[in-house]
Amino acid sequence: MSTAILYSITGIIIFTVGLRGLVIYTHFLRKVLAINVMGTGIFMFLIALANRNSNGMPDPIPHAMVLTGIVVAVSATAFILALVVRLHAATGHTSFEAIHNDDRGAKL
Amino acid sequence: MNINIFDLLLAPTLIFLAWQMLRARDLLVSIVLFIIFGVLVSLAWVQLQAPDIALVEAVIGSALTGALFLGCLGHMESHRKKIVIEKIKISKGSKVYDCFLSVLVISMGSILSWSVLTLPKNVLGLTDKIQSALAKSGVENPVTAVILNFRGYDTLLEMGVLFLVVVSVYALHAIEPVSIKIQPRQASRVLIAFLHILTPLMILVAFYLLLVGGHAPGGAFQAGAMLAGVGILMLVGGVAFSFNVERWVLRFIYVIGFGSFLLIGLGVMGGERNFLEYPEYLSKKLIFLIEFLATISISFILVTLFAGCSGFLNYGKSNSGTVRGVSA
Repeated sequence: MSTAILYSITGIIIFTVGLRGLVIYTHFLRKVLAINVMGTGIFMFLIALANRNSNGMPDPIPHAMVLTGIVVAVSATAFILALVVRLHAATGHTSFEAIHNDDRGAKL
Repeated sequence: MNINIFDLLLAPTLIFLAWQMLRARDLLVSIVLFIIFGVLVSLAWVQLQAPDIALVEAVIGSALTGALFLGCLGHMESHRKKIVIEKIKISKGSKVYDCFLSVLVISMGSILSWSVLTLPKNVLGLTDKIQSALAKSGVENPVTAVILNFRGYDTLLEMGVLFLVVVSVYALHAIEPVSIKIQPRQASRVLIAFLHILTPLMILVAFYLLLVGGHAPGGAFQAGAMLAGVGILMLVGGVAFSFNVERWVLRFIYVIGFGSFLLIGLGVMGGERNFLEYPEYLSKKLIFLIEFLATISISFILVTLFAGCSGFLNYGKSNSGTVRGVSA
């Protein structure tokens, strides 16, 4: 087994851990953390596969893609967090479930 | 390349950290684990011969994203007046649901892993093509060449995304890009003394990263994030530095990275050349110009994004004493 295979499988497992977290946990921040974990898993997968060249030199194209990906991920995270702050200020809640329950309570 | 003992220790540690991070009872612990996770992931990048990504991961992926989360958590908790430890809740909380989901996720991971193990061996990718075209690109670092020359579109759109996000954050708070006000706050004296030492050093490192990007790991995003780190530390430390620049100056700074890239891309067109296809004799200078302006834009945008998440954004021309907190 080579480093490339080891890290690509690690990346896949990290991605699945993040995916499970995204679905299971309700708190907004935990969901955003899970999305970031998923992203890191995908990046690791790409970089690991870039490293399996037979001439020993890693392929710079996936490197550039991941570099772009990290910056786009932080931009998206910042935007989601600004939304979360706004939603929290407006409703006082930190999960969709709580907002939903609150809505139901108000209607009854 | 064969694996060594370090890889064998690092890979399970990363998985364990990701798992623990998401299920930690206290969100603060989760975020701290996220930062640690990011630092360890950047070690993995080094092991995978990707020093450029290791730098970006350490500065942006781990430190800056961590700061965004911490700022957001702190802001939300200051709103609630007291710190409440969020109990971890499970959606629609049944055990059956969780089991079903785990099975689904594990089978998906297995299929993906199987596809990795059955990939064809001894492929070359595009490495040779890039090595042979490197001389024409104007820089010696292959990753920088790909980012700013061969695949300039990606980076142009990436700057566009950053610009779009900063506009959205302002729009979300329904305020005009006037200024980011520093509230004189009770920061610890240790932090302030630390800032005095660290600030010039970080600015120096940022410009080093920018200059070195042409032939070694480094570049505009690493440098911009480093400069943004200085700004965020100052915001958190409550250091009275004047960020209250004129409205048009701030707008100009936000747009200059994306705008100059776009204008240069259009400017080199004509004759045989396409959009973003730099003439060979100018490419080195143009790439440096783009990177320099991008660095300034990126650093201001990232500081603004942090301010947007953690309640530092100023509300227009309101003179009310407290500007922290977002009113609905």
